[in-house]
Amino acid sequence: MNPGRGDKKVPYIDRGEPLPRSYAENRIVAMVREPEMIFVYWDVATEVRVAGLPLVLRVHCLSEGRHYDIEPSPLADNMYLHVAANRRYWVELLAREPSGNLRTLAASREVATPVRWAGQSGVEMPDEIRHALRWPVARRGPKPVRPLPARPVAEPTAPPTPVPAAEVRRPLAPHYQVGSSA
Amino acid sequence: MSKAYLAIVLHAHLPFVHHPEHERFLEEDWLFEGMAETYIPLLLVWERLRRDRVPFKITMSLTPPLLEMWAQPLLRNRFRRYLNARIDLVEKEVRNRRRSEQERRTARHYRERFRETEAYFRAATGGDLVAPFRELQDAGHLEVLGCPATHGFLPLMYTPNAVRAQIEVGLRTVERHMGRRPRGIWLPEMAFRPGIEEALAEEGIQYFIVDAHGIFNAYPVPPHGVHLPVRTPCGVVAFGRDLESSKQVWSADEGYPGDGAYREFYRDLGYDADYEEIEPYLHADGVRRHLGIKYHRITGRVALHEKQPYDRDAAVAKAREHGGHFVFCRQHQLRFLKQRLPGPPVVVAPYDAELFGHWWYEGPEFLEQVYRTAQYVTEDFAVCTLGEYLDTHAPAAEAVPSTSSWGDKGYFEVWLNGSNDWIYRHLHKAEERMVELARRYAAEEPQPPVRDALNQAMRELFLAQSSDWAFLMCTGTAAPYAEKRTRNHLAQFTRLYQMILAGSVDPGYVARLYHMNPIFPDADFRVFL
Repeated sequence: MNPGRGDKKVPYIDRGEPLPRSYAENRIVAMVREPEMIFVYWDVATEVRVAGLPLVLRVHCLSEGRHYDIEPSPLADNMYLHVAANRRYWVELLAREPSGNLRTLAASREVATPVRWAGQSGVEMPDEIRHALRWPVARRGPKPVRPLPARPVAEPTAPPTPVPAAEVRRPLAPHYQVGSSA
Repeated sequence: MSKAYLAIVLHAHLPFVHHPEHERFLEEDWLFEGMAETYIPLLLVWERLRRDRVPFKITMSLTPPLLEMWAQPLLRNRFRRYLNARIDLVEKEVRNRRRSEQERRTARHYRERFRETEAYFRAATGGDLVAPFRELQDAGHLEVLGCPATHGFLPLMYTPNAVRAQIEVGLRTVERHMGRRPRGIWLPEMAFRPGIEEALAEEGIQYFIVDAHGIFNAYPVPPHGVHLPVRTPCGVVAFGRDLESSKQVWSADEGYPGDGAYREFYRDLGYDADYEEIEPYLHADGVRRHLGIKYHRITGRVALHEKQPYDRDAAVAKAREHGGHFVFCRQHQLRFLKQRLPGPPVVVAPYDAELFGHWWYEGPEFLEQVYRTAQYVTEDFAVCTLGEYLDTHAPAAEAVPSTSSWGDKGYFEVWLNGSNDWIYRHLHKAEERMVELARRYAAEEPQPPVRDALNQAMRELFLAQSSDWAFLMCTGTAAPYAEKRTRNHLAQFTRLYQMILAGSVDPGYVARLYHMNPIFPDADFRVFL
């Protein structure tokens, strides 16, 4: 092959316009990537950023009624979390005050990890997961043919997740949605 | 009538790429290659089948960006230029005395192919590629699926409003071009999560397709697997992808397209020829690229320089053989299924349309042979569209498919990983802001230029949401372009958002943005309510 004239050029790569690094609001969003992994990203208000408070992610497993904490790197604003399939989670964004107390900044919506290959492994999907997996996208809202399950016994101690502006017309609780709220 | 069915589903999609600001633009070639190598060759196959009265049926998604690009005069003219350049190149190749006799024979094939394509585009369609698809649809051979507006990845969107808006605008666009409201929908990347089916039901959609594990993991687990569709509680039907027919075509190792007789995609004249010979056919940067002229066959697991010369006749013969084998396998599969299932089984075989012709050069001939052979085995199965299946067979089982996609590993990893996860915080923010704008201005009946700015903001968000960008970032193919498109549409959305809220809309800016991406001319921002 003969080298082309253009082969020697180092082309300028235009990657587009810059986007803001932060929207300066307390927010955390959780997204299911696969049965055993969720992705979370977060943002903090200017006052938190300026104060330089260390952040803590509190991962709540609703299905098992337990939680655990992760301290992300000060420079991080997202993280992939290894979780279990067939479970319900929500993630709380906390700031560690100089006193050592943890202050809640934001809470994600609830997400439910799907079962992996239930048809082959024979794993049954609990009703609570089945309903938590639902995403009420339709305008009229879902019309469940079966009654919704009772809330799990182990309720989280976090503040209730407020309905984000985008879903105020949704008839069902926001914890059925992917995403977050501040 | 046989009580078993084969439904071949082709998904034709490319992201909206339209760059009037440049005389030539590399990524516009995606469309031209698709038109020259896939869409027109497929139309020519179907013309031959119609001429020979072969009863073929096909379900196909023609996505809104593709339909909108086909309608652009600029892209139609550039496609003519692309074809003429290719014809010019192969004319030279036919006369090139440094080519072997085998290569010149292949060059003559390319000359005939490009001339036929050019004549078809000019004379048969008048430059409007939608017209022959509409004709096939009206003749009952083709059922066109709807698709969300810009092929947005629905399960990773943040607001239900954005999901509904994508679906609503996508269906309207397909209806505008095809003259009919689609009955079924192609979910981008076959990505589904429970709840989406209800938004589809609201739009009158009757069915969609999920990957096999979406059915295997459905709740409750359907007793009869993927070969009988299931009805969701809201009435929309879910078809499951058949694994066997899928593997026969898709598998890189065992699939038909990997046969040694077929054309080798990666050995291209753009890299083989002397630079001076091909320089006039390259883009302005002068970098060697694929030109679609390939003289070698796959041969086997050998290095590119060891590939053997391509023999067109042998490759077509192999495609016919494989087409016959595919039908033979479906006969046995469906005979088996018929005996064991309580209802008429349907093998749903979905493929990317661009596989046929672009990636697998002999793919259209393979499909042609499938239909030609299938007409003689109707005691075992009939070909049908998915809508036709539902007209005569109501699904018995009720279930909600599970979260799934047809991407690598079956879930969302391709569209959510370290290469592309940064886009979601911006896309989600833009969704929220678009909903905010819709709520604030819907009641005001805004006049131009505010209304135009609101509609353009919606278009910019739609264009940023295209699943193609995250996919390309993941694969590394054209990743800088994908990143640029995402960033620019998001930045343009934000500028419009700020202008609208500040009451300082610049009509010239809005008009320039629409000129750059003239898509969804009739869409109204209120779909985000």
